[in-house]
Amino acid sequence: MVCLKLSTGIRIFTMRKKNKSIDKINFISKELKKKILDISFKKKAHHIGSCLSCIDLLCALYFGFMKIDKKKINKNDRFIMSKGHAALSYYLILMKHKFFTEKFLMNEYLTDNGKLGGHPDMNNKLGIDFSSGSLGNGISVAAGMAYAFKADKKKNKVFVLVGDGECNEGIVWETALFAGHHKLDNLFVIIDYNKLQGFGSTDKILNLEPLKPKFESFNWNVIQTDGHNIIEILRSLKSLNKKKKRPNLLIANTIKGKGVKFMENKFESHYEVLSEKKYNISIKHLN
Amino acid sequence: MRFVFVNKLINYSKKNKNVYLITSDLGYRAFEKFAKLFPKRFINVGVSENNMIGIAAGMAASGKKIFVYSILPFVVFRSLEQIRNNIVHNNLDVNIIGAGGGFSYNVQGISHNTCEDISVLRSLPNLSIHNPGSRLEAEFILKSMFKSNRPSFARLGKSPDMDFYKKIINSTNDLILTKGNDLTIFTTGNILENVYKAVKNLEKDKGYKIKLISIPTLKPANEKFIIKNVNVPRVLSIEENINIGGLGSLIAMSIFKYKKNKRIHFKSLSLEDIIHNKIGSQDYLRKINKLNIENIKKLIIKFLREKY
Repeated sequence: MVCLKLSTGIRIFTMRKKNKSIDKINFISKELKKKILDISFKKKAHHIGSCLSCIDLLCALYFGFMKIDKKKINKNDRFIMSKGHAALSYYLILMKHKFFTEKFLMNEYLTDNGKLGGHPDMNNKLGIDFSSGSLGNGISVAAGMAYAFKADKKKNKVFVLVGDGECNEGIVWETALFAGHHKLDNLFVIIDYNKLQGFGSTDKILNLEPLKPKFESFNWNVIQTDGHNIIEILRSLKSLNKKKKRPNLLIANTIKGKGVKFMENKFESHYEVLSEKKYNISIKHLN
Repeated sequence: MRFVFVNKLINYSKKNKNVYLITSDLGYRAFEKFAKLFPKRFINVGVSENNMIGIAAGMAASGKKIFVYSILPFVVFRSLEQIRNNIVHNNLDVNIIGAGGGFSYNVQGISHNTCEDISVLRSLPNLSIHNPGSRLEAEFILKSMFKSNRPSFARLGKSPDMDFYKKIINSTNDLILTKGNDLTIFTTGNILENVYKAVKNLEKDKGYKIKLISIPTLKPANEKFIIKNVNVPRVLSIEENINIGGLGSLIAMSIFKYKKNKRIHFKSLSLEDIIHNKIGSQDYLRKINKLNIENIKKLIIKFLREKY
């Protein structure tokens, strides 16, 4: 009886601890969403919808799943922001991880001779593991990293965030074959599946469906989940992590422009620069 | 020259455990020994050049020294963006080996023959470019590829039957093949064979004194070495590459930059700026493009008879 009570106690304690960490991630995500709007407005940046689409995923990854320790860089997991146009959300995550300060971000982001461009540029000191900007390349480089870690029998994992429009690229499928063939179970691809690309909806431009069985037939482990629900994202990643001998894909159903009503599910939010009026409305929506 | 490459790579890989050889399903009857000796360090990514460069970049970013191999135009032109963005820009230790170059693939046509690779790649900053003309030159450039940890490219064509060097090449000075004051000729790649034979013929038949210099490394260019040897009024460059952006451009720019006050007459023998889609043996294709021994001789004689 005592034992039972004790284990129940531990379970409740871990549940509380877990909920606390989920709350914390949600809190960070909310904070960063506001910063996306603030900074994009100040810097007249595009791609706001793309940033809001993937910020929950990035928060879950960086604050709930990946191994990141500034002091033990060699043991860290790696991350590639293959949809490089959502760079601001990535920079904010790195800032939150204290790779640099907010002042640094403001000084360097989209400025003359700045270190933080519209698309990320590899920089170990800033925590940026690889450059991106041209779609499709990140997944291939990530597979190369994963292959190298496996060859060295290291436990590091490699994560890569890929856009859905990006999956039109041939190289994505070359890598899908390669990673499946080489059983790269330390590779985690996350597709930010907001179903919008350059000119409109993915199903009208170049239909990806059925996406899950496609990757499964390439010998991948695939889970599809709500890309804005931190609990679901983490549960899915853990579940993928348990399965071995196959590369992992998380298809995250997301909403482009999530949190700001006039941007939600609008492909225009890829291009729009916020006016002061729209900025004020967007902040209200977020709250 | 790919056998020189494989054999040297095998020796080097015994010492350096970080070396990987990646191919996009080419190198049959060349890489078997490497694959047998280092099965875990030989990766055939399948017929997928873009992915090959991506994988190479990811591995190099994790501390590996990578050699990628394919038929030249496939790896260079199909994967140019991956080379530019992933490798050159990030300064990764990826070494691209392009088999063929020029008319090496003879009757196989324009998909396999390439005369623009050197020009295009020379415009990429931070990429070393090698184009050896013989087995010993290949050994020479491979040494520098092994030593360096920066991005590089080598065009490896067929080795000429003979080697023109009497001993192993240790420095650029060893690349001066013949000495003379009538004319300086610069050449690059395996067209060296024809140039060498033309020069030797003229030396014997006409008594011309020609300085022949091979340039197996086009980037970073050793401009000081080039200019030091532009010490006669006539200079000629010969290459199996298009006439824009190759060796001719390099020599001309070097002369212009450093010797603009002196009267130097410069000619370049290279491929015309047209589509080179004819098929035929390498000798035939060289002949119709004036790169055969007879034409090279004619050009030299004409050049030396011109009065300035």
